[in-house]
Amino acid sequence: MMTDEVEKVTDDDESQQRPASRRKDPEPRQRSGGGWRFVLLGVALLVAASGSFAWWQTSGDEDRKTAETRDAVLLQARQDIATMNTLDYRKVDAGVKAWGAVTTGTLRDQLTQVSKEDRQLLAEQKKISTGRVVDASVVDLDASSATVIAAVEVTVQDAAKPDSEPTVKRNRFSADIVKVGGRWRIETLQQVAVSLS
Amino acid sequence: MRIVRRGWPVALAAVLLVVGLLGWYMSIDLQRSEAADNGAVVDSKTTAQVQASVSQALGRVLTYDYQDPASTEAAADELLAGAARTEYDTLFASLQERAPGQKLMLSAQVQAIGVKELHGSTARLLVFLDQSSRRAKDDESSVSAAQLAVTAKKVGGVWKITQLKPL
Repeated sequence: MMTDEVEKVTDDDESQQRPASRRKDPEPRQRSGGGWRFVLLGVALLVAASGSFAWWQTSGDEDRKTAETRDAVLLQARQDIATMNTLDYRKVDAGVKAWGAVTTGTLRDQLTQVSKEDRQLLAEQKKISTGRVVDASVVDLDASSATVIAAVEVTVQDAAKPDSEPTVKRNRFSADIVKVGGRWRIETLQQVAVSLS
Repeated sequence: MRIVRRGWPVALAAVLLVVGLLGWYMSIDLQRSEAADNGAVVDSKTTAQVQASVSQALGRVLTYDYQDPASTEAAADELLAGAARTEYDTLFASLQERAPGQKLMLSAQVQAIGVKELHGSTARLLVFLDQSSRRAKDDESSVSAAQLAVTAKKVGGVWKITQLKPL
């Protein structure tokens, strides 16, 4: 629409100028040559308008936003689920603090209220657990909550028996994730148990 | 003065061209991003379709009754393709050898399933599978929890499993 108008203006401009230039203008070539500038301007206006529109449309695309949210949730959840399966007996306080940082709600309350005695117990067990998310997928998603499933490998090294081989366990987890204060946090984390019907 | 007066359309055109090309570039760049290219979860209809198809397929293909191996084999013919098919044939052959003697029965049920990637007619999934086996001969039974990375392709309107990798 806009461009049509611009081009029309340019045409009018030329048609009015040409007869006039024959009569009066001392530099006819330069004068009539001015038209291409307006054609260029018209084309540039078209490019600018369409480019801005395309940018605006793409950046406002809901599907694209959802896709980005999905990837952000998954990335965060993978890290956080690994954190939840990690604890070093030498750094129990730091480990518990890390759990608190990636969780929210009741789960967070439970984890941060781990008593001194329990912490002592964890330290005395002399275990180093390291969680690794082997694979994960978003199952459900909206703007502020998501469900993620994750296949987790937990390696446990028993420091009381330094010569022993670490044991490796495979676990299946399902996590409900919610966005709190601009960060995705784990609200519930459950093992997916076998239940054949 | 004259140059300035005559030059302004060109200068303005240059600015507009830069703005327009930047807009197109950003738009294409955003569309080409990996996130936008992946329809998993975003395309909720297809995601649900793939989940349902793969769940059903795994259930049928990994359920086996020594008295009726033919129906499992038929399911495999129908729902498996590519590498998954080849691997399954090996598995099925060894199963056929021991099953009648042990009176073996297997069943499988999908417990949780998520689509990780969805590009056109190819999907990658993470599946939590519950499996049980029962040997009627000595009345032994066991259950196990499996985690599978599955690739599915839509062939002729049907989602077929082309890759099946235990994690």
